[in-house]
Amino acid sequence: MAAGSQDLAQVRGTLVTIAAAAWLLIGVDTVSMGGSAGHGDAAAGGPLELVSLAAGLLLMLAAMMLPLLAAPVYHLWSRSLARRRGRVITLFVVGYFAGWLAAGGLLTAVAGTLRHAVPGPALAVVVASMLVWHTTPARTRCLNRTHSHPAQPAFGLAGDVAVLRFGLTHALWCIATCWALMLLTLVAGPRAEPVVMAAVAFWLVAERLERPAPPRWGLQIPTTVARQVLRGRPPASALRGRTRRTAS
Amino acid sequence: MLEVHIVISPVPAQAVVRPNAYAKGGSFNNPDLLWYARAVAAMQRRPLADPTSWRSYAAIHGFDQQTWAGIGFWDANEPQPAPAVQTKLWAQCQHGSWYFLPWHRGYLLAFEAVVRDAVVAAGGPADWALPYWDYFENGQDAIPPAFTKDAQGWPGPGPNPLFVDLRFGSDPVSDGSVSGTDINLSAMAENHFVGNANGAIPGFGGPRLNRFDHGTFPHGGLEQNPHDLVHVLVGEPDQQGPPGLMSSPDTAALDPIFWLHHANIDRLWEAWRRTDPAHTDPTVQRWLQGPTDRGFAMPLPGGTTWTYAPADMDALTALKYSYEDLTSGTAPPATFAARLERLGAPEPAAGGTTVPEDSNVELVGANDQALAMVSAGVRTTVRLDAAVRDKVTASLTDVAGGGTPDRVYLDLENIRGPADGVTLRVYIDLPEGADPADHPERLAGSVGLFGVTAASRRDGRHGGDGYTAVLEITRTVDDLHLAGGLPDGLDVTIVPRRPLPPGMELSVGRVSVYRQGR
Repeated sequence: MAAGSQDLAQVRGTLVTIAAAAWLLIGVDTVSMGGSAGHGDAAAGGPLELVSLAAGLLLMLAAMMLPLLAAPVYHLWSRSLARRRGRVITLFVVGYFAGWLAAGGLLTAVAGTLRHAVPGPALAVVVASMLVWHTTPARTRCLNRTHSHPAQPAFGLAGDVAVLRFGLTHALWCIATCWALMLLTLVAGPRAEPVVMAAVAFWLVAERLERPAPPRWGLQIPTTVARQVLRGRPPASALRGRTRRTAS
Repeated sequence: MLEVHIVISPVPAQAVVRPNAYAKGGSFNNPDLLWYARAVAAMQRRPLADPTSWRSYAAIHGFDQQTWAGIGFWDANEPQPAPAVQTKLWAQCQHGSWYFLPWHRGYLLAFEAVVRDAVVAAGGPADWALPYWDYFENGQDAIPPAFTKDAQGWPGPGPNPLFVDLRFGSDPVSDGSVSGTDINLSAMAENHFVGNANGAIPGFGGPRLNRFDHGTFPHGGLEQNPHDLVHVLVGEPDQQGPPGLMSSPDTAALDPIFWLHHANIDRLWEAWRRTDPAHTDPTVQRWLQGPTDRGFAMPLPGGTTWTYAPADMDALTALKYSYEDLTSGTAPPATFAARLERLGAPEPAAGGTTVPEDSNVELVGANDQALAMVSAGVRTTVRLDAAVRDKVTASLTDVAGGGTPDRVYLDLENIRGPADGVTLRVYIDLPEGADPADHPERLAGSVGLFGVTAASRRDGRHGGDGYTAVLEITRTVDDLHLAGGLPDGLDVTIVPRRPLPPGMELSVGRVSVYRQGR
């Protein structure tokens, strides 16, 4: 295996391992305390509640979002000075999670408000919003932007600022793409939350495996994962007879 | 509808030999070209809805409805292939991955079968084979005369089917040579088929990728040069003209010269495999069996669709074709042994062993901001990190003790703009104010921006990141080392081969230097 493949595998492995640890903690939390990650009620909170809310959100984001960061993190790994790789990736992740924490706090407040204001149909309202948003060209445009990996300055403060900004920008496109799914997770309630989180996380990974697509109206279903599963391994040899003729 | 499975493939019934297109001067006196022209004319007469029509076969390589409509190759009122057929067959070309060579080999093979079928139907030879354009051979760097506006000897009916107006922009009969200044055979010296997209040359054949990808970057060694450059040089526009068909993956296969260019690329792959026992195709299943999410499919005469995988493209003997010549225009310009000798190695190496495949690749330095290209060229300084630069110096010094020297690369990252047909020339340490044309010794390499327009679209399949090019500057770095040591920075000048069209916005995101070694 070439060195670059090893590096990419290492980056992916590290991110997935951290995400798996976060999933484990969420599972333990769900079983032992009935679940609290990421769905606190900010309005009710003092400092301790806010810290708890932030911790829960961080755990949730680590579990769901880290696997999505393999491409930008590997981009930074391979395109940075070796002595600055740790610093650059840390700054990117800080920028990314700062953006998501702010959005997560806002979404949590919205989820709390919805649950209090319309306790019955809150879930239906969010599902409807999600479906509408997912059919818009604007969402596809946002999703496309998450594939962007701009060049970064290699040295000094300019490099630090640029990568922090990259993390934040990447988070903003991610938030714009995923806000409705995250809101769905947050209004699902403690019992359903881990299941919804897992389903949403799977969807996000599947969606990120798609190449950017022209924005258009309609629900964009990610098919790459399904095609990989269905295709499995191609038949042994084309030259031994895999030609198909369609006759009427 | 009744589905019938039959055993059929594009492999010819009898072994064929692909000939040099320049036989009999590359004119219509060459029967290979005359029969090719007749078959092209027959395919061009077929309706678009026929998967073996000229335009539908070109769409297999790439298709963009807006672009095609703009140049008169698409009419919305014309019957189209069924959507399922378009989804399965169109826009398949694999670029920027280790599938580039095997996908195009299958594409050529199927196209050749369709053309041969038309040749035979017109009364031609059953052993007709696709000619190749050996632009590295002396006197053959211009497009074969049969493809030009002034071609003599086309018996008709109709105009010469091998000529297209959209070649060399609006001046299709200008100097049609693909200049030796820009193209070279350095890729033939690559020891490894596969590489990575991490700053170094991504191998002879392209970077590892597991999925079907209709165009990504960087391109593999052979793909970037000569493949991309020949595309762009043939399709290069002048000031007034739109880009030629060959300059974009979405239109390239509409030009009949496309197929002869790719026959030569395919020939170079075979020549590479035969020049050194170490030159082997990947043996891992992920390459052999093709992308995990979609197969390669080609229409054949008689309404059949043939699917294939890279494993099927491995041996020319099984595919029943060969080339008239595998030595002409295939030798790399320099050897690794010569490099070691220059650097003072005690005993020149016998083989071509360069840095191993699993070597580290790391950034040595970069310039500090994006560049906006102008016709006169732009100049920037790539600052080198002292510690990494010293690693390079140490590896070059260690050659005297038997060490393996680093290889060094200059990357132009994230080149963006509607610049199909643009070639950039990259110079290192050009004297301030000097005319680049007076200093060919400072030319690090050329980059043909094949596919840059599509790669620059924010909602395109590449996310708008643009074209990233890799140029090997090992020789330049060796010279600097031997002249007294590597500096703190490299002055890099980037000049378009021809003036940019007025208003064209073309930018380079970053200019960077990478080392590959221990």
